[in-house]
Amino acid sequence: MNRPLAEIEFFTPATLNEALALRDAERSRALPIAGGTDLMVLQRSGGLGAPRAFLSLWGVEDLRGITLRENRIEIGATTTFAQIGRSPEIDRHVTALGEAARRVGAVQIQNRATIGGNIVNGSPAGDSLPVLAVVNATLVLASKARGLRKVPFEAFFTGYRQTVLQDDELLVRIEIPLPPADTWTGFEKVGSRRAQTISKVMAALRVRLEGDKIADVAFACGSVAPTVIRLPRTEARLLGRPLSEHLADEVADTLNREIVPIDDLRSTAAYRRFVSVGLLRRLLRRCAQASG
Amino acid sequence: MKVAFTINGRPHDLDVPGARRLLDVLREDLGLTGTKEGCGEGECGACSVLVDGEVVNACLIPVAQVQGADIVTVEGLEAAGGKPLQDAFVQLGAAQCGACTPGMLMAAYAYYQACARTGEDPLDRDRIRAALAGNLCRCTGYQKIIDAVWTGCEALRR
Repeated sequence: MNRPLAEIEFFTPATLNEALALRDAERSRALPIAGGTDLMVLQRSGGLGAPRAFLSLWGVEDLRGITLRENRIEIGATTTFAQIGRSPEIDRHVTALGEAARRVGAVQIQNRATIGGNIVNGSPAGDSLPVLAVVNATLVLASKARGLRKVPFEAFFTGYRQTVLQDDELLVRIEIPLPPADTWTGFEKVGSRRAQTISKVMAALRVRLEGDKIADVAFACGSVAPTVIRLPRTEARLLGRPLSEHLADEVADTLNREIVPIDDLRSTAAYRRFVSVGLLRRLLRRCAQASG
Repeated sequence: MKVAFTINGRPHDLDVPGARRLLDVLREDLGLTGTKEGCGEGECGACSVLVDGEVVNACLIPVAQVQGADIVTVEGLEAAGGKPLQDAFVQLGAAQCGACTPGMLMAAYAYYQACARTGEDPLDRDRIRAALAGNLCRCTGYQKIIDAVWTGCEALRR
C-alpha cells in the first residue's frame, strides 16, 4: 500500500538536537530523509511501505560540511556529492571519494544526494561505499538517549540493506583518517551508461608503495555481494608484490572466490566476475601511472 | 504547513503538505507548467529547476525543503539573463517536441553559471555533454542541443 505524499507528515528540525528529539519520539513512524534522491523514488514505487512521516535532515546545517582535522577528515552526513566532488581537501586526501561523488547520477542528483543517505540506504551498489571500505572510515551515530556512538565502517552493514543503525539513532558524520603520505586511492564504476546508472560492478583501491613494492593495500567491490565487501584474501596476495597491472590476472582466481555476484536485471554473475578483474587491472594501472 | 520561497524573483507564501513534490506545487498550485514531468524519478531531467543557483530535479524535492529558497524555472530564465541560450535553441533547431527543452535550458544555464564561478571555459563540447548528462532527449539525437548550448554560452560571454 502506498501512502500519497500529501498524507505524509513532514518534520523539519533546524538543529541536530531537535532532530534527535524527534527521532527519539517518533522512531520508525518517521523515516529520516535528506536529499530524497533514493526515498522519493522508493515512495513513488511503493517500496517504502506506508511511512506516517518523514524526518527531514536537509535543513540541519550542523550535519553538513567537510572539516580537515589534524589527523582525519570529517564529512557531515548531509554533505552532498556535489560538495564532495569539488572539495579540494577530499581531492587531496581521499581522492577516490571525489571520483565516486562525480560518478553519482548526474549533476541534478549530485546537488541533492548526500553521503549519509548513500550509506544508510545501504544499497550494495552505493557509489561511496567501496571507497569508505578501503579508507578505514568510522561512522558517527547519535541518539538522544546515548549520545555519540562510533562504528567502524566494516561493522555497519549486517546484510542486504541491513545496518546497525537503531531506530532512535541518526548518522551524523563520517570520519576518515588521513592516510600516510604516498597513499594512492582510486575508484572505478561500470554501468550501462556513463551517467545516471546504477553500477554493474564497482571497485575501489588504496595502495601505499615502498619503492616499487605494495606495502599496504585495500581493495573493495560493490554490486558483487549483498553488501559492499573488502577482499582480504586478494589483498594478501597483492601485498609485498611489485606494483603492476598484471597482478590482476595473477590474483583473479582468488578475487573470484571472494565475490558472490548474481544474475539480475542489470547484469550476469559471469560478466561481473570478468569485469571485476578488469577493474582491478585498471586501478593497478592507474596507480602505476600515478607513481610514475 | 506554511512554506515561503521566491520563484523567478516573486515571493510566494503557501500552505501545502510538506512532502508534496516541488514539481507538483509548481505545475498545479502555481500554474508554472514550463517545468515538465518526464519520468518522476530523477532520471530524465525534464523537471530541472534552479534552487539557490543549483540545478536539481523538482520531482524528487519535498516542497518543505525549499523553505526560504530562491527558485528559478524556465519561465524566469529570460529575466535571469538566459535569453541568449533560448535564442540559440530556436535558431539552431535544438527543439523538436520540446518536452526536454526547459530542463535542457536550466541545466545549460546552470553549467554556464558554474563555469563563470570557477573560471572554466564553457566552450567545450565534452564538458557540455557532461553537464547535460542528466537530461534525456528522445527526439533530436542531442547534437543540435550541444550546438545550441555552445552557441548560447558564447553569446552569454560577449
